[in-house]
Amino acid sequence: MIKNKKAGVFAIGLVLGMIIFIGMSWHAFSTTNKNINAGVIKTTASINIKNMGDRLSFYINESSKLAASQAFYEIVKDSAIDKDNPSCTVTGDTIIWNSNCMPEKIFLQNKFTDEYGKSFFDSLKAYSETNLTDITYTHTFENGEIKTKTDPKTFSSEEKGTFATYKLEYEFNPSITLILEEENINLDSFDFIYIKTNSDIRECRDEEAVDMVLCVKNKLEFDGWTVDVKKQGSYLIFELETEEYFFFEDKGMKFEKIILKFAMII
Amino acid sequence: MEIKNKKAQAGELVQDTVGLVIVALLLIIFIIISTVLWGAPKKEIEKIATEQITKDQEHLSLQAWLQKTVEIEIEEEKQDITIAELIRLSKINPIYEEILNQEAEKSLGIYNYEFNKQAGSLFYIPSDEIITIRLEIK
Repeated sequence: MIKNKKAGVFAIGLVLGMIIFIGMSWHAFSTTNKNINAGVIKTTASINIKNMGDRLSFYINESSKLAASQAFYEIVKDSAIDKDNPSCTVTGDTIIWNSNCMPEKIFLQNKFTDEYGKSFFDSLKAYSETNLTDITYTHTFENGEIKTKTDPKTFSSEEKGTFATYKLEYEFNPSITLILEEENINLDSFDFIYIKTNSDIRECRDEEAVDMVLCVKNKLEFDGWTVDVKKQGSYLIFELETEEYFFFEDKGMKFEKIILKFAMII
Repeated sequence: MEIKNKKAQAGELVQDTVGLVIVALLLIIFIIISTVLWGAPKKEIEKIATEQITKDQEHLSLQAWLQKTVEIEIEEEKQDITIAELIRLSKINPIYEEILNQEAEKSLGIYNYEFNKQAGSLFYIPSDEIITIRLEIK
């Protein structure tokens, strides 16, 4: 009987020991797995979210370049003047440049910034991977650069693992600075074109040149533009074509040289 | 009496042996089950890691390729443009699709490029569409 009691206690102890052993083993197994799983999911999710940041950065960079090209086209299309200026008149379909209707630096910078902002926002609206339109963007023109500033945007990603769901947050700042010279855009060139053309016409007039077109054409030379001059009545019609190609939208997307057209009185 | 004790001792020995065998069997079963349970997550982790490496390589190769500069000819004029611009150009004018394919063949190695997939890098073409491009192993 005493022997049986001892055996009973031993058996119970054995069973309890086994339960504790199995329980601890299971706990160690699940905890380790959970940690490994968390590590893998965390690494995977952070790589995915970094890649998403890369894609977004690429998209914003490309959109910025495209917006700058479009803004430049909008300026050149209107002969680089303020179309609402009542002093501006036309000969045929060409704007006449004169002292009351000529390219003005501040106006061009403001118009460029506005057009850039519009085009840039259009591209943000189209981005499908995440919503980019809920952020306020401010664009400023400074020393030949267009700066887009905004507050950082937080993206979150949820990854489901075998043992738990992991949530990751990532902060991305879509601010960007575009150097316009690198995009072959120089807004100061319009001001210079007006001054140089005006003085060359005056010189040719003073020289009493027989062929005004040839005289002016021989004098004119602008970096980044090829010049063509024609005579139309008492005006010279100038067609300046960019040496570089630009992407812009005008009844569909185009990749062409942009033409600046204006007239000046002889 | 002694015979009875001897019988009891033998019975006890058999009982203890059977008990030990059962405990050993239980341990073996536990070890087998543990190994099977350990193996499954390992395989899952390996699968996730392999998929992730492939996806990451595709992403990095695509980003590098899109920013590569190539020389093309437009109206008999040579022009340096990036692959990203060439892709946009090929959407405007199908003539450039052939040049894009040649460039892809030259520089993408084991990959092919594909449009209109769910994941990939996006491009904006005003008044037209959003292009999604990604790489895929040939």
